[in-house]
Amino acid sequence: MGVKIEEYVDIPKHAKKFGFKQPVKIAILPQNFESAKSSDELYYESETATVRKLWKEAKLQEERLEREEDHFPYIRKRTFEWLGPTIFIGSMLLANEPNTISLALNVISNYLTDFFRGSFQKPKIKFAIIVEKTNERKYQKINYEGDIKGIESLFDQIKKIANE
Amino acid sequence: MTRLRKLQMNKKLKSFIDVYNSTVTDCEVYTFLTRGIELQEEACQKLESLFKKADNLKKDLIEKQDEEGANIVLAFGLMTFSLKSQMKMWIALKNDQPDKAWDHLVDAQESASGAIRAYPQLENLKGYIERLHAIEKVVFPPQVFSSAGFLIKDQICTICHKDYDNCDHIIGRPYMGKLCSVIIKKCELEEVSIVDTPHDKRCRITHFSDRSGKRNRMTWRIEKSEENENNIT
Repeated sequence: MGVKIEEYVDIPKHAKKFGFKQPVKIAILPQNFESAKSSDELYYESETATVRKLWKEAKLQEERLEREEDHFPYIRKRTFEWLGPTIFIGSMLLANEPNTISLALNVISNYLTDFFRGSFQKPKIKFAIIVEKTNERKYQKINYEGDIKGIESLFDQIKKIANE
Repeated sequence: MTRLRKLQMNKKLKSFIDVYNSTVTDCEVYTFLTRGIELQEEACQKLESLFKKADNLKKDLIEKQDEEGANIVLAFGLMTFSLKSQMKMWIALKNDQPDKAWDHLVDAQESASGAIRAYPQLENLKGYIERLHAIEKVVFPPQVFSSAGFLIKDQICTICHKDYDNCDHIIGRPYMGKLCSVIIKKCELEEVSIVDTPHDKRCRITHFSDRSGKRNRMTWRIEKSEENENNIT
């Protein structure tokens, strides 16, 4: 299981640049949110649409950053790995609704358990979580690469980063 | 009346499962390299007939809006296809068609996995899936797989044919006898790479050139290219 943590960009500044709403609680960021020069260049990971539907099914309210009429492409690599979205977790959510974070992660891990049930090979799961630090306008990115079981441990990582 | 219809439908499903079990038990005997090719071909025909029965029953169940029944029959249909594909793999190998055999093997693996997704109670098939992977490792040489990366601009759901972003169906789940997937309508190729674990094992390097000519990676034979044929006098 691999977890790499790195500093992330100023989200409100970048959100403003792209004409996005600023995320507060839980949102999905485009994969190249930090590096794109304009909104024309933005794209999401291939499984973003699926995760959005899973959250909707679980009655989890995601904040859509882009406008209703905006449609961004998805990057899809034809390898045997599941490329999940870049998930933003706001410090307010961690403070007031920590269960929502667990729900968001559990819904993904339950889906993956079902999806890969008949597979011989163990799937590689890749996705990122951007954590807003409590009381600071700073953000850190957790790059997760591992198996389905390892997703459970990410909640503790999120808490640790937020409170550092 | 509805309850009686449902009971009759369950009877039809039960009767199909009995036929499935007896056909599969008969045909499994032939899923070995050593079995007579004519017997394997006969078994393929029996499985094809079973697959058609599954398809007809599924259509019946879909008409009656019995989603659970349709998904169960989907699973049994996929397993039938998997067994038939395995049989065709052995036949192709005996007919000196290893490239075709590889594609049949991948069909067998994918449809067995799909069967479990359609009906998780079939998890006891894991032993069968493991056997298919053992065949891959022992019978075939190691493959070099390629994988393409795309920027997808438009994809539609295979269940409702709407934009996948705007429907409620989820990839991999069964809906009224069909597994949800997406069809890519518009995309841009971003990159092609060599990978260890591809999404689709049919995407592989089939030939390479060396001093002798164009060599088939499966048979190791030098194959005449169209260019060479035109130059022969």
